[in-house]
Amino acid sequence: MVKPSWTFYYNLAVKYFDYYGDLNMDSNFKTIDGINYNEEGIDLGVWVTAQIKLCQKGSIYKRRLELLKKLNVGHEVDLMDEKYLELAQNYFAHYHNLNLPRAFKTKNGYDYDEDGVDLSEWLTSQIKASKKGALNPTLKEALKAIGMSFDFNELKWNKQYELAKTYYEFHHNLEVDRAFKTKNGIDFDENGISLGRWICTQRFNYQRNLLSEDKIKKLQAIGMIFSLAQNHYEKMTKLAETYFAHYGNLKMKVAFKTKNGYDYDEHGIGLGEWVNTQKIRCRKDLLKDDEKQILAQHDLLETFIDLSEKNMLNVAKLYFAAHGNLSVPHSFKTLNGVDENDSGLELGKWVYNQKRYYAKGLLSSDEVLQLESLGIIWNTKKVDVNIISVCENYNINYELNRETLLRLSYSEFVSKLLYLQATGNAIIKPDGSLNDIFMMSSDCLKEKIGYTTAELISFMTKYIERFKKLLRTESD
Amino acid sequence: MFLEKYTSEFGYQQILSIYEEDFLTILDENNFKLIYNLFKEQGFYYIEDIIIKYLEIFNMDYNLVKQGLKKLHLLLGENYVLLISHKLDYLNLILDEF
Repeated sequence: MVKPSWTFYYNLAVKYFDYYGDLNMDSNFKTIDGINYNEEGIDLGVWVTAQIKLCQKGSIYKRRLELLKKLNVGHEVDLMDEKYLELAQNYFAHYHNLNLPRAFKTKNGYDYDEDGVDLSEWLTSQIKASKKGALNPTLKEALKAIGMSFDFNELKWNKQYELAKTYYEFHHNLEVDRAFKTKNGIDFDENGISLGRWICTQRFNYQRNLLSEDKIKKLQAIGMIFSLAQNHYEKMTKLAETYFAHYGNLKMKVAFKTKNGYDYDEHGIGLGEWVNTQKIRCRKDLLKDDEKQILAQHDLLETFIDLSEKNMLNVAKLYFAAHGNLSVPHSFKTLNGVDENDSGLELGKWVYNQKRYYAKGLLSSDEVLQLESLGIIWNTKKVDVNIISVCENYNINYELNRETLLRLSYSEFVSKLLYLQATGNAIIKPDGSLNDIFMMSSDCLKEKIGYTTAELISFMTKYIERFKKLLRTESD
Repeated sequence: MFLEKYTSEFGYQQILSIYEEDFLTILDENNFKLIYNLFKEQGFYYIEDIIIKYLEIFNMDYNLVKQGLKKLHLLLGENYVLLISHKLDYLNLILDEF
């Protein structure tokens, strides 16, 4: 059976009203003609009761409300609205916002009173009415004047914010797991709101400048860290701080891992690697302002600066003054640059690193000059002019292959070159780099061409001599 | 020079022709042994080739070298020792550890 339309019911109600002068009927009243009771008739009583409730909740279409007002239904809504509006205005005057707690009951608008009216429920119903287009425009403007937002997205955001705020007040952080759902902000609830995802979305929006200043401030007030990288940096700094408090320094092996900040733990976080990286970044002035701030907040910035080059260069100068060179053994540690001391600065390692930086072009010209004035020898390997000469004759790009060529003796280089030439194989690959046999292990070479490196050089010795004469290079 | 204990006559001569004397004099035998044994434990069977071509690795901190080998293992897979024997240049990755 098709349910009668709202208009059908209304027309019956009009007939009742016209006859009786009001709509005060029993909720069980049924009728066919709108005037007399008829058991077989339409549930007009039920319908009228429902309309009155909808009016009171504010959940009725504006057009229907206007029609019902003609039957003296809905007028009390206006009176009620006036009363609630006054309470809301009192609340705003007292707190300067309309951020009411849930189920806020009140008699005066600002003090909670169990016996009072539920002001927060009424405000919510105005929002719903507004969404349906059923809110009295005058009432809407009055509510807007006291900071009421009718932006549904805004309200949704605020609702989730309140949950996040509750989480923060309970956990003292906003480290919400992405999969965390909740109804009360504290306990996990599969049917709750995805608070974890909402937090991630706020970070996403922040990075894309989609969050308003107001929202940023509100989130920051509850411990929101927008940059996970910053969060990680903060965590690592705290661990380093614990290490420092325990040992009085930040000297640790690169492979040092820890959970508590001072005991080694194979399954811990790589603190040694992190500290080493910050040392290098500090040295190259690559630390960002917020990172420096974090280090400074934990009184570690000066420590990292000390771990960087300033001190090491001074010690290097002392070593040079004592020894006349910077040929520092790799394991050499010292406090005064002269005497070896196991708890001293790792000068040997530092000198080695300067050579690596130099090879990679990471040193400034000032740094290069300073170290050269202390007699540093950049190259651990000899530069063989004979090899350079061969490269010129064979159109081998020396600079491109420099790293490889510095690792070859002249005899190995020429032996392999002559072998390739004799067997019709390319000495260089299409990209200009040397054939792979130049950097093969001896066993691998044996597998490939039937000779170990030593055997090949031995076999080629007589040819190397002729080769030298042919190129008119300087002999050894 | 302690290197003669760890290389053949051929290998030693190769080293003398490649490396500056100043560098050879600052090599520390204890550190060298640590790194040598590390390569051995990892299954490298061409350690003399590594000594000849990458002697500076034996001058590095043990933990850095171990870290570098671990990275190579991750990068190249289970056959990383064999792959490095075909192309010793891969060992440059260890030199990049600081």
